[in-house]
Parts: sequence; C-alpha cells; structure tokens
Amino acid sequence: MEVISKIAFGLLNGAVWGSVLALLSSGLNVVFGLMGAVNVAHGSFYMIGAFTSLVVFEGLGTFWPSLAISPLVVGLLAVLVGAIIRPVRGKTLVVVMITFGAMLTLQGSALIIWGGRPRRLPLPILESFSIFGSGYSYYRLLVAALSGLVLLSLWFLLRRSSLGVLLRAVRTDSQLSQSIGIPVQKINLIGFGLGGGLAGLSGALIAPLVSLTPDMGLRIFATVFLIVILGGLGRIWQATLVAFVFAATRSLATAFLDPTKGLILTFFIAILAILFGSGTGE
Amino acid sequence: MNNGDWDRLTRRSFLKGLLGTGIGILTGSFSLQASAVSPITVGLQVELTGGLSTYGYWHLKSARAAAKKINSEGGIAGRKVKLVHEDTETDPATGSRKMRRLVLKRGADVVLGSQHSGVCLASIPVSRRFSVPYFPIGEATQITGNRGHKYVFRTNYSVEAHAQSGYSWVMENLGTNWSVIYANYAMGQSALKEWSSRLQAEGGNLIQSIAVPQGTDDFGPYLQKVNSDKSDLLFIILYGPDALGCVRRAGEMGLNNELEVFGNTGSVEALDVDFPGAEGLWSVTNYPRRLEEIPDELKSFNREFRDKVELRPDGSGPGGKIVDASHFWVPWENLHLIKMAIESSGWREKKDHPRLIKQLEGISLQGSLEHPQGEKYIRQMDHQGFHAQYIQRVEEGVLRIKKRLAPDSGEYEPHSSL
Amino acid sequence: MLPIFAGRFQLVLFTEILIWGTYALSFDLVFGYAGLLSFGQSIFFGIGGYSILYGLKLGFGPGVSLLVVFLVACIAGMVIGAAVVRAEGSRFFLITLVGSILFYILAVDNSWLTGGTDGMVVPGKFLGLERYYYLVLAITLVLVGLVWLLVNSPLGLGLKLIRDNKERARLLGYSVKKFRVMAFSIGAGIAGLAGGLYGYTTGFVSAGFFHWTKSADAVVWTVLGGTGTVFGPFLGAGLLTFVRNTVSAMTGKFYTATLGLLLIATIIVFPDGLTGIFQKLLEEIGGSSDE
Repeated sequence: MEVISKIAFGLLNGAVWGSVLALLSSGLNVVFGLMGAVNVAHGSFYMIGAFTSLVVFEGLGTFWPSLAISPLVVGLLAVLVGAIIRPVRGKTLVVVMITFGAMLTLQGSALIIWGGRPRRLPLPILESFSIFGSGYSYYRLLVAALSGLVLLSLWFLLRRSSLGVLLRAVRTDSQLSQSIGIPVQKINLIGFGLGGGLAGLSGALIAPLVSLTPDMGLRIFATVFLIVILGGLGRIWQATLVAFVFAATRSLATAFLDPTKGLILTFFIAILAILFGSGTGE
Repeated sequence: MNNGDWDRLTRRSFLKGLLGTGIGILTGSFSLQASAVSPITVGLQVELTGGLSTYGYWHLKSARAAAKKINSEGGIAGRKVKLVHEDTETDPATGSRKMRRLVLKRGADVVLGSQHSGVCLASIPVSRRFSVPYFPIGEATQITGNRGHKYVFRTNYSVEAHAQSGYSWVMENLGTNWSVIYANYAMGQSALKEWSSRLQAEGGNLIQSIAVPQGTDDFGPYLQKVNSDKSDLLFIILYGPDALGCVRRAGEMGLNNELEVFGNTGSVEALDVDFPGAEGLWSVTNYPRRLEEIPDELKSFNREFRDKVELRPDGSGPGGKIVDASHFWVPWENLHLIKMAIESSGWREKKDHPRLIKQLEGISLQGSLEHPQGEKYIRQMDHQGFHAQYIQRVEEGVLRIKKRLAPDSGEYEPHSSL
Repeated sequence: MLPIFAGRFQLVLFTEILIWGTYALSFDLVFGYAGLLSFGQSIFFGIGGYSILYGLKLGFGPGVSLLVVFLVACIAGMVIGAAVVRAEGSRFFLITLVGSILFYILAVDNSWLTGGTDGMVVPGKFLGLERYYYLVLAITLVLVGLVWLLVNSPLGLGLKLIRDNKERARLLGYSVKKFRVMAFSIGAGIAGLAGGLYGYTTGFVSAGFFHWTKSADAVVWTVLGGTGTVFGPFLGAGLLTFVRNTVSAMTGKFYTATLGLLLIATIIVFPDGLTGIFQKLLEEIGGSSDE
C-alpha cells in the first residue's frame, strides 16, 4: 500500500476506534464528575454490553436490537452499582475497592456463563466498499457515524437540557444543590445509568468487530483511563478529543512502526500523565 | 531389631492392612469386574474454561470414551482404569497447580496432558519432581526438546514437525515469497522460526514478518503492512479466534484475492469456516475434520471411533460444537498406548516406571480402532511422536483434504537425548 | 503450623498458604499501615521470582539468592516508590495498576529474559517438600516478627499518623515522602521474597508472576482478613488458598466472581475483615464475663 493510502486507512481506522473510545471515556467522565471517584468496573460494563449483543444475536437471530438493549441492560446494572456506592460516596479508596469488587464479580460471572472461550459475532453488514486500494466494511462506518450521533446528543443533553443542568449542578456542588431542592440521590443514579449506558452501547457497537472474552473489559479499561487522565478527569470533551487523537496515532503507529514498542511507550506516557497531569486528583 | 520393634512393625502393618481393607470395602474398590487389585489412576489435564475450552471438551470426551471401552474389555492387565481430570483454566499457573493436585491428591499414576503449551511447560517440572509419566499435547517444540525429560512422551506433532513436514509442499504449491503475520509470544515466534528458516534454506524469501501483540483486536493496521506485490503467500501464525479474526479482516480488505492465505494448526481448529473471507484458506491438520476425507484404509476404524465419541461425519458434535480435529484423538490413543505398554512391560506400580518408559521408547503403531489417526511411531531419542499430516483447504464452506504427508516427512534433528 | 502431615498435598498446600500470606502481608504493610492502595505488588512478586532464577543460575546458593531477592526487590521498590508516592489515593492505585499491566507486557514480550508465559525452570535439585515447607515457615515467622516490630516501632507509628492525618504529620515534622518510600520498598522486598520463595519451591517462574490478577489477590485477601493487622493477610490468603485448592467447585471458574462478591460484602458489612470479626467475638466473650 502506498504511503498516502496507508495514512488515509489509518485515519479512517482511527476514527472508528476513536469514536468507541470516546463513548467509553465520556461515560467514565460523567460518572467521575458525579461520584468524584473512579469506577473500576467501567470496563466490565463495556464487556457486559458486548456479551448482551451476543445473547440478543443468539436469541433473536439478529444483532440490531442489541444497540438498544445493551445500553438499557448495562445502564440498569450501573444504577445498581451506583446505589451500592451511594452511602460511601466521599471515601475514594472505599469506592475504588467496591467498584473493583464489582469488576471482579462481573468478569467472574461472564466467565461462569460463557466459559471463557472467545466468542465472535458475524458482521451485521457483509458488504465492504473499496477505499485507497483496500476493502473496508460498511459496518465500521456505521459504528463511527452512530457514535458521533450519540456524542452529539450527549452534548445537547448536558448543555441544553434541563437534565443536563441538573447533572452539572450536582457535579459542581452537591450540597448546595441539595439545599435548593434538587433530588441529588436521584440525579446521581441517573448519571450513573447514563455512564453505564454509554459503556454498554460501545460494547454493543464493537461486538461484531472483536472477539468477546470476559477480560476484554480490563484490556480496554487501561486505555480508557489513559485517555481520561490525559484529557483531565471529569472533562468530557477534552477526553473525546484525546480519544480520537490516541486512536489515530495508534493506528498509524502500528501501520508504520513496531506495535509493541508503541504500546509500551503509550503506557509510559500514561504513567507520566497520571503523575504530573492536571485535573482533579482525589 | 529387638522384639519390641518387630511387634510394632507387624502391628502397624496389620493395622494398615485392616484400615486399607476397610476403606477398600467402603469405597467399593473391591469389585468383581475388572479388578481384584487397585485401579490404575489416569490423570487428565483439560482446558474446560478459558480460551481453549472447546479443545478440553473434546479431550475429556475422548479420554472418557477410551476409559469406558478399555474397562468394558477387562481393563488394563485386569485392573480398572480410573480417570480423574482437572481444569487448567487455560492458564499455566493454574495448570501446574492442578498437575500437583492430580499427582499428590488424586493419586494419578500417569497424566495425560494439556493442549496449552504453557501449561505443559509449567507441568513438566512437576512430572519430573514426582516421577510421573506425562503425555502433553501442547505443540511447543521444547516440550520434547530442551525442556523435556525421560518421563515425558508426546505422540502428536511438535511445531517443528509440522514445519518440517509441510514446508516443501507449501513452497511448491503456494509460493516461495512469504509474508508472515504471527502472534508475538513464544509459540508464534517459534513457529515463525521453524517455517521461515526452512523456507530460506531452500532459497525462498521471507518478505516480511509482522508481529502481532497478544490481545490485539484490530488486525487492520497489521494487515496494511502486507506487501501484496512482492508476496505470493500470506502465512498466518495465530491461534483460535485471533486467526479467524485476522482471516476475516483480510477477506474484508480483499487480501485473499491478491495472495494465497495459509494458516498453521490452530488457525481453524474447532472453528466454523463457513464465511466468505475463509474461502480458499489453506491450513495443516493432523486429522481430517470430515469423515469422507479420511483415507479409505482408516475409514472403518474412524466410523466406530467417531461414533463412540459422538462426532458426526461433518465434524460437529453435541450442541453443534466443532471438533478440534488435530488433537482430540490424542487422549483416546494415549490411553490405549498406555494400556499396551503396561501389559507388555509388566508394569505394576510406580517403581516399574523405568520399564514402562523403555516399552514406550521407539514404539511403532499401525492404524486401528485404538489408533484411528493412523500409523505413528515415537522416536526413542527425544520421545517425540511422528504421524501423518494433511494439507486442507476451505472450499464452499467446508474443509477438503488436498494432500497427505507421510509420518517420516516430519522428522527433524532431535533437540535432546534422553 | 503443624509439622506432621498426612500427605504431600497438604504439605504443598500449607507451604503455599504461608507464601501467599507473606505476599498479602506486603500489601497490608503498604495499604493498611501506610495508606497507599497499591495494585502493583505483583510487580515485585515477579521481580522476586526472576531474581531467584537468575541468582541460582549464576551459581549462588539458595540462601544467598533469597537474600539477593529481598534486596533487589527492595531497591526496585525504592526506585519506583520514590517516583510514585507523591500521587494520592486513586491516582496511586491507577499508576500501580497500569504499572502492573505494563510489567506484565514487558515480561511477555521479552521472552529471551523471562521465557514469556512459557516461563523458565528454576535450576537446582529438588530437596523434598518437607524441607521447602520448613524453609518457608522459618522465613515467614522471621518476617512476621520483623513486621510486627516495625509497625510498633517509631517508624510504624509515624506511618499510621501519616496515613490518618497527613497534614498534622507534616506539621509535626514528618517527611511524608521518606516514610512512604520506606514502607513501599519494604513491602516490595517482602512481595519479592514471596515471589522468590514461590519460584524456588515450585521450580518454575513465568511472566504470569507479574499478572495484575496477582495484585488483585493480594488486595482481596488482605481486605478479607483485615487490613492494618499482621495476621489478617494470613487469614485471608489462607482461607482462600485452602478453599481454592480443596473445594472442587471453587477450583474452577467460580473463583473470580466469588472473590469479587466477597470483597464487596467485606467492605460493606465487615470493613475490618475476619480479624475484626474475631476481635468482636473476643470482646463479646470478654465483655460478658465482666458483667
């Protein structure tokens, strides 16, 4: 493949993966903003979203309903986790431990139910189009388009809707919000559900493109955290930008360089960013 | 020794004998059928969960079917075969822990090994430490090489044997300019080395070798690197769903129109090949998935064997599970091999192991119901087995055998002398 | 601690319990006493495992090699600790988790050094399960003794003060960083020693030693047993190791989920873990006799 084609292909690939990572990082940031602590189980939500698509496909014979079902299932699951955490909201380490326990429980349950053997879903759209001398599935385009749409909707929700105003109020100062009559508990749970729903949707979208294993959540978790830290904890739109840049860079780096070195370099940057990065720490 | 000691000794052994008899009666190991003596315990390491769980399912089935058959025919030297198994969870640390459990807690006299090379390599020190004959199925060459020892026997092909047997055919029929995409860890690296060194020794060209880290989901960027102008063949050294994921993406990108695509063992095992991108995919296998592709002289044995293991002629089993054709027959054959070796060598208990080992070394077997995969032999020097291998291709959604390669075609220089 | 066993399996099991207890103790020192939620104990476990491999390969005897293991792991802990202890709470956890994943990847990719996931055989004659048991028992007892002394020493008290009220500690003149690095490096040394012992007694080391699930084990076992205690880690590690190896339902796929549920339940219902429960029981018994 010529250089131009390679670059174009890399950017396209990066856009697709970047959009999924953006959904995931947004979900994590929504929850962080509300809970003040990191949800270690976020990757597991993504994994459950993907496996829900598998269940839907095997049960109904088609993949498409899972794009609505997965976010719903995972959203509800997230509300449950949110409810468990509510009493200990302020204590960061306790929240981390509980969400870590939730992660283990979810991963372990997936192992029990599906057995650990990697699963695959067929592509819901079989046709590819030809671009820069190589084939590219229409489904990947759809993933990017849908994610973009959802991100846009999220922006409108947070910036323009009344729910968005409430969410932001609670994030900024929950005590004050409570004192002026905002049902903080309810808003928190809604926020959790929203974050979970985003994770569930990204899992569903990605499901036909990867192999499904119980530990797929942890693998992507590290990447999502990196993105969220680089963008600044709680800053949704910065993280979204970072997600796209990260995915494009990784795609291009892999195509042109040695991938393993790139991965290790990425982690090093991650650690440096966490150590010295900005954004609310505790 | 004075009288007191004697008394104590005889008293103790009497009590022991009484206790043993009591336990024996309680546990029913005194049965009329195949044993007046204690059973022979065969341990089985299987992957029942984790990445290789489809393999484990079939291996357990095949071992159980063999044990059932042997016991119904009188057992081994009149003793019942007791099969005990443990789940390795497709993880080397867990696998070696389970090996210790099989040997120390469950009393295994011999152990049939795992499909996972990492588990096998971690378990070999246990087999050596406690002097337990071990029959690993994992393909890593070092298992009968620098990590092997005299208690280890492998009846199925190593990675190097596959390469030695198959490389000339691949060069003659698919091309001499290879692009290799491989899993960047021990197994993948060793397969790359074995195949490409032979390619290059015969004047072929390794155009490029593309390393793929473990856990990669997106094969696009890696496949982008493939130089389809210079290469004739895309050689895939990946395992399980990764292999198929890569093949699918290659199909999506249209690479299978520009090059031949070849996958080594493990690329199609236990996986459904009926999807567009797989059409035309070549691979090697130890055993044809479909009954009709099995050589005529072995067909009748295999009909009966497959019947006992609940394997349908199309290569699927209960619940539509597809068989891992290359290896599922190994536990069945190994149990029969052990039976034969025990009966011919007069093995009775642990101290007779050296006799058992001697019997197994250099053994040569013909195709039969007990050995349905066909003729094979175990090399004395490194305890490595050699058997026939097949080249197959996906045509119209099914696997068709294109060539049979003889057992001795896989012989390579041994890496150890036992 | 019984030296007389019915069988070889129990010997191996108890040896493992002691090793895992020690490993969990390393986490407890760093978290329970110093307040740093470290998800990176597996890093030092792995370093320890490979140090014993190379120590023995280079021809040093087991005794010297184990000493080297402790020192190497301690130094690694000092170096890494100095860089990361400045991070607070969840950031620290995150760095150590990412670090753990990173070390695992490095170990897998550099199979020339580590053997990757296939691992390497530890050289040396098999000395017998009993000898290994006594060796591990001896070392464990010494370590437990030392840690107990440590946490009751000025160093230990300083750590607890820093953990509970950092600002006050600073005002009193404590160097937060120094104390933390010290705790982290001792914890690293102990984790490394556990890794070295595990490699030595099983005769095998692999990249799996670095895997993040090992870090998770240390966390859960300690929380279950009771953080901030010397015996808690042993209780938690012992119970779960025993169950994992003997209860056949638990030896397989149910382990991870059970671990997760136990962790959540423990934090919510019994935050002081098993030692907390025992203490309460003792108080009940003691209390009723007062009345």
